[in-house]
Amino acid sequence: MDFNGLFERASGNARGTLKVKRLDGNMVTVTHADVIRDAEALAQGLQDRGVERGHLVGLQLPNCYEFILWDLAAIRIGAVLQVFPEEVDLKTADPSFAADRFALFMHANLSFESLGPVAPDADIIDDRDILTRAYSSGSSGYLKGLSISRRGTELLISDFIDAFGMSEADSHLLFLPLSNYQQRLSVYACLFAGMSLSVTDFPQLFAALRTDKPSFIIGPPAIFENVFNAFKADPNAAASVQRFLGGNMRFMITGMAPIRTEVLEAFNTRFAQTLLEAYGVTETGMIAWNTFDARRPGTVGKPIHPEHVHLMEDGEIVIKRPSPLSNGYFYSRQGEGHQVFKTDGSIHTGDIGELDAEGFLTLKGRKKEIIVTNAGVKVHPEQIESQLGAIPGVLQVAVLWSPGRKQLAAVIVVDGASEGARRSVATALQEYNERAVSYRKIGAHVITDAKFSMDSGLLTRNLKYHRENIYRHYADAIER
Amino acid sequence: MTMERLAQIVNRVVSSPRAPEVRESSRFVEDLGFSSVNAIMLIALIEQEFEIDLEQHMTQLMQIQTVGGAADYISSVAADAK
Repeated sequence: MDFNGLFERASGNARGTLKVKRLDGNMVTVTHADVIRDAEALAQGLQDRGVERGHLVGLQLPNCYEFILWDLAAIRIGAVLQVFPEEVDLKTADPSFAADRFALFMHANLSFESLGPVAPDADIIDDRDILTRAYSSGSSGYLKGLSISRRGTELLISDFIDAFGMSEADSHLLFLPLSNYQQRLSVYACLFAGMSLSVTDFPQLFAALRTDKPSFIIGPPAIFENVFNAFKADPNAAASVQRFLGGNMRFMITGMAPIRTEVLEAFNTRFAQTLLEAYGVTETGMIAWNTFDARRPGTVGKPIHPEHVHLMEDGEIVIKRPSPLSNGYFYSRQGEGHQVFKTDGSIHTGDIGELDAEGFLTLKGRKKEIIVTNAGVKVHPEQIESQLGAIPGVLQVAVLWSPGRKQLAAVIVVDGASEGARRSVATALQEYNERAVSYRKIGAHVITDAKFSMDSGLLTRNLKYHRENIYRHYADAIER
Repeated sequence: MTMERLAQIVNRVVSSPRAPEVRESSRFVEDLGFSSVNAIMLIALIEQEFEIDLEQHMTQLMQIQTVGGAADYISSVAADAK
């Protein structure tokens, strides 16, 4: 895939359509040729207002046709679109935000006609490989601003099209925010490969599956866990699931968080679907994926380019590739950039992995979450959490280090903390402890029915455990 | 009637194997631990089981807090559709 050829190619797509709401709420279905024509017209309009190659252009829009047009128009001109997540306050996203650095800024309350002339002192970005700027909430839960590489994007899309045999017979449904760069990659891939695309919003996901009948979707595990729960007891599960997914699904990809092996196996056997786990980080792009030809449940598949993937002595996955998806952070909290983007061009993911004899990659946990016991043994809390999470009635469980006791501790959230529920969870925990090796035993535990939430500060923005805060919150109970 | 059928559907959505009993007074988030994915799955299954189209009702549905409240709402949508 290459952006130079994208416009001409998409104009010639015979079958490809785009179905999406306009900013005014009206649904439109247009051909790829229409999309390109409208994007070219907008590009001309932007240039007439003075937008030039390299100009920084701001955008904060919900999923809509205009979003896609602005994105393509900016690419056409060579302007750098900086896309803000819809729900955030601009200053919160990026404290360095200053409106006058943007040549133009488009948001939902504006129309193209109401935009003024280009800001006279707008930033110009010289690097021609910088395609756009996007924000990503990293594992820390704080937004980071990423400069996105044009070449890195092109290579990733080519890899995807090759690995999954994408063609104009395919169709895609996209339901996550377009401000998330992965979704924009999907838009480019559809236009390039001639695949029809439907863009919706998350609440409409399941209804859109039925009406738009996509042949592939990409989503977080929660989606598939919910489908699994709804149909696991269905005697005609395969037929029911097929109907629920629209009847035309060729494959589904999940990632962003671990998926339970039970769910993965149900989809791929009893439900007669193809659900594949993949692994990537926004800083470098997709790293590994299960494919039709090479898959192993419980792993994230084989590295796409094994020669780019290096495992450090401590197991950290380090990527060194010619064109990573991101050229670096344009905004991050202090020091974060140097921890991830090294001067030798390598990108440190912070994820701990393991390759098996046949080259399948398994994720073990986050490097910074590793607990080192007093005996110097390294423990991945995520692994113990997934074991304890399987205890019936347990909704959430965080495994922490108790410095007072010099032992592991667990905070277990149960579904309705009745005396009976607490007792059965405590019994199951005892059984776990009897089987576990000494350094994996849980020395102290707290059972509560107060779910970890973002509001309480016990979950990060990414809905991951904020172990530091969880420890602080329950320290008295753990250490007493 | 609607309540019984709805309770069955809610049970398919609630993830925990030891889910609390679904009552009219059960609150989706506080009592049943509903997430946003659970909510849209519930709506999708209601549409399927009751053979109604709730697309125009999403905003109102998302504000309903209890299972009983949802049952009443669905009854009225189903009655209007007839």
